[in-house]
Amino acid sequence: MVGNFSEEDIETVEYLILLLLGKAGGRVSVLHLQKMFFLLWRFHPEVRRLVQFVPHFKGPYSQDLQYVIRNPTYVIDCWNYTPPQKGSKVDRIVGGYVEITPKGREIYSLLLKGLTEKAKEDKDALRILSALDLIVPLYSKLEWDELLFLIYTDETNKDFSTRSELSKEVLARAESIVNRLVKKGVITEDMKGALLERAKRSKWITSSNHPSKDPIVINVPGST
Amino acid sequence: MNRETVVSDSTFYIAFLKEEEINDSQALIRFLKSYRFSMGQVIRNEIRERHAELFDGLGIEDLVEIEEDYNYAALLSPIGDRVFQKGEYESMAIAFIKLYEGVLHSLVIDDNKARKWLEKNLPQLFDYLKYSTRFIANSCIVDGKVSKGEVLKILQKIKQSIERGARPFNLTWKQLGKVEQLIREVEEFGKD
Repeated sequence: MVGNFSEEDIETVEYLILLLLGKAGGRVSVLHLQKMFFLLWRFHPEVRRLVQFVPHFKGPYSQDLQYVIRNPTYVIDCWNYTPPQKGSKVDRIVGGYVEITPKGREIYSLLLKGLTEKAKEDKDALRILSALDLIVPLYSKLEWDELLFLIYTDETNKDFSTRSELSKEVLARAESIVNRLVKKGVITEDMKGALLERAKRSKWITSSNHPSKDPIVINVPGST
Repeated sequence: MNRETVVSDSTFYIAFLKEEEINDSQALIRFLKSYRFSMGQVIRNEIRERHAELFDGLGIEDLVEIEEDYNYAALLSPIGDRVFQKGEYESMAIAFIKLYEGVLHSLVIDDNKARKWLEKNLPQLFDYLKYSTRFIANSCIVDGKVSKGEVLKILQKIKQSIERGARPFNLTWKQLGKVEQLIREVEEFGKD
């Protein structure tokens, strides 16, 4: 965890994971969980304090989060982690799956009720809840390559997308991905051209500016 | 809680400040005082980049709620970056959160691409979505917050500016009829 993290911070991260899983409903890939958490992390100063994200082989990645997903300390038996199936390329790419358990659903409902009450007076709680309501339905329905395509080609995330091992594969199928996004209604027909153009201009994706294999740390300002 | 918060991208503010467009900063101030306008850092920067002197001189920052603690644009940038204006998707995210809070009055966006995307992906916001000119007309005929005379004056300035070839709120000659229709609508409205 970042700096002098406390037990309370770990607990908060675990509850945030539960909120994401509860909102998503069913099985969520680790890749999706990482990326949605990353968006929350960029959005919310309190979340930014909790974990560190670095550019990694699948774009923005948090080792802290990865650890908590597999080894929760406080929010026990609320989700199950299923490792990638041997021989499944997609499973390997997405890093396995996390699924909320019946106990997790119960705690999620209580948590949501409590936070909704708290949000009436607490600005941070309100923003967490509403941001989850905004991003989870939008991004959880994407296939792994659709999600990576949108994250990689977003210039505002470019510092986190410079070292991806999947970038060439994802970019090579840009047209098919964009067509799928239109079909799903995630983008409209008249956004297609701009997205394809954006992909062409995303030079940072294939940049080899960071030859070291060790994660590098990026300081993100409070807001852009 | 009152639904008084208006979220708009920078186009709305800039049209009032730009010499070739409405060029009436006092009319903008009237709107900012009549509603609770909310903006993020991106929108503030977009306005300041073009009209820093007016922005500071008029004290706009004191008349609007600046949401600077949170990076709203980050929530939608994977979809919106270089597809919409950055201020557009920042304002969508702020409006969504204001709606959640129960205080959203209007989301003012003129770009049709952005409006279409909103309609499909954030339909909760659709009832609040307004074009700038509709918002201006409604401030008189629906909300009763700005006088008939003042709204007519602004709509006339918009019309004249389009006739001179400028593009306030991205409007062109093709939309001149719609502006004239709005002028008639306000003229026929009884009260001043």
